[in-house]
Amino acid sequence: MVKLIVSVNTVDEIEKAYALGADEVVVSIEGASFNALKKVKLEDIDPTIPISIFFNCFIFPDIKDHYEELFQEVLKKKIESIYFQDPIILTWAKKYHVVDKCIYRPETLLTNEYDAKWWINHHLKAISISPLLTIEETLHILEQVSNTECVIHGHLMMSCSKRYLLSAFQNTYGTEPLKENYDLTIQESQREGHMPIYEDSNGTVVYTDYLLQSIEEVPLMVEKGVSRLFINGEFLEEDCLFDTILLYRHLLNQKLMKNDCETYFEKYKNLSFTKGYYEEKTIK
Amino acid sequence: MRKVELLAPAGDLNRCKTAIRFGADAVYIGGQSFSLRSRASNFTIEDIKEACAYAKQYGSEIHVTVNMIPHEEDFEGLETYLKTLEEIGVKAIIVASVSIMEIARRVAPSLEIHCSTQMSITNAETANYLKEELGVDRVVLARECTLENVKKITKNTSIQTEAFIHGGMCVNYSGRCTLSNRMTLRDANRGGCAQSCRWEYRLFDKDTELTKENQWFTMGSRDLCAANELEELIHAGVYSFKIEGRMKTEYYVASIVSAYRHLIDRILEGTPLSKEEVVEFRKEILKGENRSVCNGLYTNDRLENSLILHTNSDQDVNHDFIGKVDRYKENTNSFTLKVRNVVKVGDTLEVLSPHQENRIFQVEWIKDKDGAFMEECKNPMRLIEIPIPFEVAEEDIVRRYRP
Ligand code: SF4
Repeated sequence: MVKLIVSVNTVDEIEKAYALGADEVVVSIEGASFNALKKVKLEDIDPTIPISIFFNCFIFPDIKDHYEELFQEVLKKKIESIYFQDPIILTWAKKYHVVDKCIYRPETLLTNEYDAKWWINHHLKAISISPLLTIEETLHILEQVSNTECVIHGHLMMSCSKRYLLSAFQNTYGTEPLKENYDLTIQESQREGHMPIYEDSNGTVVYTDYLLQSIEEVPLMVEKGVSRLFINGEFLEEDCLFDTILLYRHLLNQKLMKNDCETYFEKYKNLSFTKGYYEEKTIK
Repeated sequence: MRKVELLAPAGDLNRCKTAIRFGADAVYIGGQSFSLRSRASNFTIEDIKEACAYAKQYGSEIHVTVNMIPHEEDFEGLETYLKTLEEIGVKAIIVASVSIMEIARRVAPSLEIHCSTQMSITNAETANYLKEELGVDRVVLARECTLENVKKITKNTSIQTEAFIHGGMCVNYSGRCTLSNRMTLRDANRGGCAQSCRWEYRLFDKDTELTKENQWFTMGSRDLCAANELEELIHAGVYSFKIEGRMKTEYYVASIVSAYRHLIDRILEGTPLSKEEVVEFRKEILKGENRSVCNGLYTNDRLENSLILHTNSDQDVNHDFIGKVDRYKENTNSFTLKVRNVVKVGDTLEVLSPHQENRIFQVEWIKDKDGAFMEECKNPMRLIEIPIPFEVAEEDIVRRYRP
């Protein structure tokens, strides 16, 4: 059965997301998660509720021991999946016998069936392929590789830096503190779109101005055997996040009415939805 | 003292030979396929073959970048390409895809595999994991590592480590940046990066703009110069020291390689460098550089000192390069060269010759190719003759002297 996965911003959203039809809910935790989701405190997560975690920061030697302890703490929860991009996490997962909960999500690096197969052959739960692929490329990988996840909706991460880019700007031009501010966007001087930008202790991340939507592509992905469909919760208002879960749940349950889509896109017409790279191949 | 490697970039055969002559222990180049910096990859198989033969004469080695993040169609012809690289004497390939590593192991087992910085390796466990799983021979450490990080990783892994010491830096974790893809559809992971991080952006807090005209938000990183850290990196056991810049000019390659060669040789003599010596070596290195530099993240400076927060940050022109020696005339104690930048009678020039201290002299006269005296030469690529009080060799570099 295809699973619908959603990342959320608060502990309160976890139960509601399940109630609306999410099969797995992913949260970010302080330090270990490198993205712009709001961070939840590990101790606030109910140990009886199934939960997935982004453990996707890069691990440097000076913080390694601390993060290995944090990894063990995470395992005390009812963990469904652990998203990672640094292979050191896999070595810890082996040590603590949780490789089958690990999902390799290096954002942009899995762009072909061969790399995808290599990782999945290491007994991981799943791999998450790059959202920079055309729909043909995506479907080809889905056909060839089992246990594959596709990001289908939301703002896509465009870059992550170890530098404190916003604080550097603040220091140079004397603005108010900009760290951990979820309301910041950048706009390229010749273009329209506003791209969310966020800085925390891990560094700075920038997201696409647009939101990917895959209403037409999901049935094709399901047909080719996709295992997991992922909704990115970063910068989504709670209402929008919940409506999005419901939309895709109906789609997967084949209960989506034509006017459901119309209502959704009408309600969020201020957001700019696109098909990402599905129909536009990047050039070398 | 143990051997270390000075690893230089080259965008074409000329620059490759220059890097080798000026003291690179190895040069990394890109073929016409499978490489990032596709616009800097001019090496045909014949060129690579010639580069390998040339390198062999000098006891140097050739590494080839096969570091794109491949899409399905990029695998076409890969096996044949890797086999050919092995046959023609390439020492190592620099790779970012696990499946390319696997293929290389299978079809070209004597090629060394070096994990590219695209893999963002920031700890010894990941390096060891890649060695166990894929038999990689070396890891290029992420440029995000601090000096202390590099020391610890090198100490705790049994494979060779390679660290960047000079040149351009991505502000983002390598391989994870799609700014260029979004802005221009050019795929940074397949060599098409448009350097969108260096562009000008407006910054908003909700609806309020925080930027002003000429106070843009930009994300460009300053270039790296690790002259201050090099001695510690060598003592930490790092094997290879990499200069970035396959797009750079021949002059840049010669002067940066030559300066680091002198510094490394001095460190390998064994006695610790004094602070004054480090300052001098750094000054020497920066003569070949035209962009603002920083210590990268070796000193963990994650703020404005490692960034470019002003416009026009990407000036790449260096006006110091006067030309390469075309021919030395022993009977007249003079040499000819094709001029690249303005040179005048009275100028003090400096000659960079491989494996020698730099030498300076003053221009006493200039003659054009017909033997007519001239006060100055402004025309690029014009052949002129200048007297010189010492012997120089073909291909030596001549630049303006800056004390
Ligand atoms: S846009 Fe900048 S940070 Fe991103 S890949 Fe290009 S040079 Fe690197």
